[in-house]
Amino acid sequence: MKPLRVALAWLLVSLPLAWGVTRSVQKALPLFQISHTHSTTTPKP
Amino acid sequence: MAVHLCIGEVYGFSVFNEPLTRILGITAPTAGADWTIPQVGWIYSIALVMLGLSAAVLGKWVERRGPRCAMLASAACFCGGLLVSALGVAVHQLWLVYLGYGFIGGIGLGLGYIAPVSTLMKWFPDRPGLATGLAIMGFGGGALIGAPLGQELMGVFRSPATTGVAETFIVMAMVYACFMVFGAATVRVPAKGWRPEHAQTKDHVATEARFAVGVDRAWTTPQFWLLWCVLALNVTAGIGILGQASLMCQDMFGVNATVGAGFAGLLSIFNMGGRFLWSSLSDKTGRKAIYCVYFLTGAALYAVLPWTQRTGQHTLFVGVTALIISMYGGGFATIPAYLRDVFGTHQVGAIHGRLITAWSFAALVGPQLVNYLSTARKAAGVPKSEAYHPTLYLMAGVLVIGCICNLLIRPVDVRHHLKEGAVV
Repeated sequence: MKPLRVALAWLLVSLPLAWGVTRSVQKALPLFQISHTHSTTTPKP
Repeated sequence: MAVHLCIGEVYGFSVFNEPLTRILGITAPTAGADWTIPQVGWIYSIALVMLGLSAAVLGKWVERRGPRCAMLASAACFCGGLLVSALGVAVHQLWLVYLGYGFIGGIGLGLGYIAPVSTLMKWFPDRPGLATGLAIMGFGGGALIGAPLGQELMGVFRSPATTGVAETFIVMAMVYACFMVFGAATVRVPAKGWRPEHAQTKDHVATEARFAVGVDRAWTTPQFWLLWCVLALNVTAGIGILGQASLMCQDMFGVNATVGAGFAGLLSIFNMGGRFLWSSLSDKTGRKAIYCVYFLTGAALYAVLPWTQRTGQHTLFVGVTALIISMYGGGFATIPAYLRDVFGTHQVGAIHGRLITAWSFAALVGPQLVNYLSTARKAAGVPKSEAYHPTLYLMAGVLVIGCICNLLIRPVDVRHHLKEGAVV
């Protein structure tokens, strides 16, 4: 397979994957804010 | 990867669960007429059972017809299943959704899952762990695309007259069909005996399995069943966290549902990354050694989790669970390379297909076990934050048993090897 076709094939699978990872990281950000602000609180029963 | 990224959407199917319970009521479920969460939950379970069964039954066919034909069949079943499900949602017939996404789509999952594995191992004869990691990483990443794509599309199609689920299924079927056909058109099987330039030396040749065990003989050996237990126990323990991630995080640390969902999404990233990294590392360490790492480190980390809850260490809890899930993914991705080491490359795809039944078994048993134990503890009056502790210790024990099974695996007796003329 020619290098250009290989690059295009990788781009085709990488782009949606990168979009999905970005979306998941954005959703996970509040978790670290909670971790930061509540690190000294006791857990709710 | 294109095929696995598509069929991995099944991991993100839960985004449809709630909207499927208000197809008639649109804004809220209509009691007695709309489907319930337990009824809808069966769609995912049927799909996973069919994944295992179809991989086991059709594995030899996949080996015979090659990856391209198998990938096209997978695309036809998976996308066709989505279309049948869309019809089921439109006419509000649950059996059509079971038949579409569960039965037909599940066959597509099984075919698509095993199709590229043996081909990739032939392209990377000196790095089978890297090869299987690349393929199976896509399946882990499928939820990262499928879940937000499903939510976005439902948002676009939602109206006072529809929840947008049927329309979403149709669009997803078309998009995934394009991607899967692209994957099928791109895949190539290397010529027999092909080796990359850098792997022409004797040292590299020595690392390759130069014997073959047929699929029908392989599954009569104790090695196959020990590997079956290795996969089943690894999956049972991983699903203990992955399946309950959001709820467990909310119960243990008192966070809200949004943060819980963020935690589940984060674990999906580690599930995907672990598949590639751990499996690639297994090429250096050997398969038995890396599974000992998965099991023993995993058991130790599970035993630490209750302590992180008692001391209120959220960040440590997130880090430990992420590491556990990365090894859960690593276990999935390394198993085909382990099979190649034990049984040779000849029918490794078909043998892998039969081993996948361990996943179906664990996917049914694991979540039920966690649900049952945590629910029973909560009902007994134990605080929610501590309800999961025995489950976590139990998972640590499960991993220790897995480690023992792994250590018992020995090379297959020569009498099971195929004669040279029989390997075509």
